Amino acid sequence: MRSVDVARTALGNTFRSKLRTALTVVAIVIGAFTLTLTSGLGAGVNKYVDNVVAGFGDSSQLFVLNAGASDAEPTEGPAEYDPEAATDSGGMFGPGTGGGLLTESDIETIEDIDHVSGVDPVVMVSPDYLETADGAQYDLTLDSPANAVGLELEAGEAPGDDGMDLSIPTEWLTIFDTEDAEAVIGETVQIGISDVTGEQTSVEAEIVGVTEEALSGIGATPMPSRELNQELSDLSMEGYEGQAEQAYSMAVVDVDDLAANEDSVKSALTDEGLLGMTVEDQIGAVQGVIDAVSWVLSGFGLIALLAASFGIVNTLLMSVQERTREIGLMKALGMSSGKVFGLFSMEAVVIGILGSVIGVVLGLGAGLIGNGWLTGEGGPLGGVAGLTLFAVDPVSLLGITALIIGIAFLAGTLPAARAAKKDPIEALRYE
Amino acid sequence: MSIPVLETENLVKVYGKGATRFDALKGLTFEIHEGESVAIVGKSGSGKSTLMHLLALLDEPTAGVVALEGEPVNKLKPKKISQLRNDTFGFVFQQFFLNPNQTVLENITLPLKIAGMGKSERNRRGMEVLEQLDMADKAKNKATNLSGGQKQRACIARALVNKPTVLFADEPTGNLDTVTSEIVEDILFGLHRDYGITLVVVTHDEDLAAKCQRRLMMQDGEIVTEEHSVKEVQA
Ligand SMILES: Nc1ncnc2c1ncn2[C@@H]1O[C@H](COP(=O)(O)OP(=O)(O)OP(=O)(O)O)[C@@H](O)[C@H]1O
Ligand SMILES: [Mg+2]
Repeated sequence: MRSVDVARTALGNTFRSKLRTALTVVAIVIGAFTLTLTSGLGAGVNKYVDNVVAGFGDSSQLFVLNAGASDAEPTEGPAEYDPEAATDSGGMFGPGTGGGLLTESDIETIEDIDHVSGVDPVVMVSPDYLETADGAQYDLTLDSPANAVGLELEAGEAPGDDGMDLSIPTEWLTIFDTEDAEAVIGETVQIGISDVTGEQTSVEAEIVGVTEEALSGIGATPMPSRELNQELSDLSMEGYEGQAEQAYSMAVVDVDDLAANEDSVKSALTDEGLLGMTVEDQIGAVQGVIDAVSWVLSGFGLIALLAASFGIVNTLLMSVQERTREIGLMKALGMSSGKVFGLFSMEAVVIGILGSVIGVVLGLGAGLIGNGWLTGEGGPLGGVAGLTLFAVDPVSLLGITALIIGIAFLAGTLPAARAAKKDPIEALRYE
Repeated sequence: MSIPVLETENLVKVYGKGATRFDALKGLTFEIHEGESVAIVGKSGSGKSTLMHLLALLDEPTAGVVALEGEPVNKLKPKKISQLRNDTFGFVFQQFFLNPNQTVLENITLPLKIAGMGKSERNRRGMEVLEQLDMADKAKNKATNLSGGQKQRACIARALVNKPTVLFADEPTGNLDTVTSEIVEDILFGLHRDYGITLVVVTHDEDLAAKCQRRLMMQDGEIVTEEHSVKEVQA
């Protein structure tokens, strides 16, 4: 018997008892549907995370923190008080001498490490307000100038190292009563900040750029130039009595050929009590969790498939029993046992193909529609820029289809073997 | 004399073991030559079907040998035996065994499909045989919608479609009325006469048996007498 005839006959036989086939297929559809949804969900969320990472731009960078800052092991219940540690983790406004912040000498140490081509210390400032020419004041949070590489510009240019420059997001155009991004370039604003004693002062800054919010979130808040950032930091430290040493919350370190030198730089940092992390390090953990969750969900899909495979076994066993005479006749007319086996396992495969294709298509439909509804404009998650909850990954869809067809084939082997073993004489005598 | 198409030597078939042991065939030795028509006759339970199944390589003897064209078959692989059955034999079974969901044409071309022949060639050969049996107009009918005589003719068509050397028929007229029986008999002996097909017919119908050149009379698993027709049978 030719393969094409085996396939055609199997297909015909599958549709002989339509209701029974349909019910078996439904069980597989449920499994395929679940797997498609869960794998699409994992792929979608991971894709979103990847896009966020890409938004950070340069991946030749290491983010360096003082190891003390992330040393705080989570403890069961309240942690015991440790005077050493307490002084170590000086707050944001303290003239950090150790612990959570990086000092000038730390920066120098980092600069001396092999393969480090540049160190960009990050100073965090907390200004109070931004004041426009007409005197209106707005609540202000500033982004770090270290993120300038990740800016997506609508107009003008990114704030650089020098000059008292500032970029604002497109949403802030309203404070100048305009929709034209170009129009605000060159406008000046006042930025107010309080010093240690609580006294407010302000500095003038010029708007040089208008930014769009990138997936990473960069560009959603105004960003100062380095000089402006430093000036604001200095103003905030005014009135501090004592040895005020410049402190940084972290440093962005450029590394030559990060892929090759990552480990050596990291270990050099560790020796100095510092912690270096790549973007992947920070995001990798998140993706690990997402993968784990989607695997657990896929587990439910697999359980559904397992149940469905017993459906296939049952359906085909009934079919073999019903068609005893037909099998006997085929064997009597010279069909080999191998071909009989092939015919029945092919029927299982047909059921598997039907179930997986329908399930995958339904899963794709549900995933895409659900994603559109949830993350689309006006949807419950519509506010999260660039969020995808479901992505089409052809490789895993093919994988799911192949897996299900494989399971169907395995489920078919028992009935098929039984059919192949039938003795033509017994089968022909069978009433 | 030429090599017989089928020959047996001391053929024994035992069913069951111990207390339920039943000797269905007790050592049969005979030959069937090409172009012969042979009737296996005997009472119910005498072992006719058992013998036919052994001759047709559908079953294996407990002891003894079946040889096809001088070659003992007991040493052959199952797959080879299946292929031999497909190539050389045609079967008309006691029951019709037609697939009710398929058309007459699909039913009768099953042996060719099993042989691995392409669909168009299959259908061409199928139509040829149906025309030969005056059934061409029923080719596209579902097998269920045929009368008993038409079903039996369809079965004969299925047996002939692969141009067999030997045609086995187990009670081919068992289910049919006298008139239809005669039509079927005419077809079988016509084939025998016109195409030289070797005919092995199991029957307890005296009429049918009388038309065969040789009659093997069976009783309790043994051939008790063997009769030869004096003159050539005319259909
Ligand atoms: N599988 C089996 N197990 C046990 N006994 C069997 C088996 N098959 C056949 N027999 C016995 O072998 C004997 C011969 O059976 P067989 O079918 O050859 O008879 P038959 O001559 O064809 O009879 P009928 O004319 O009724 O068809 C019978 O007594 C039957 O009961
Ligand atoms: Mg019988």
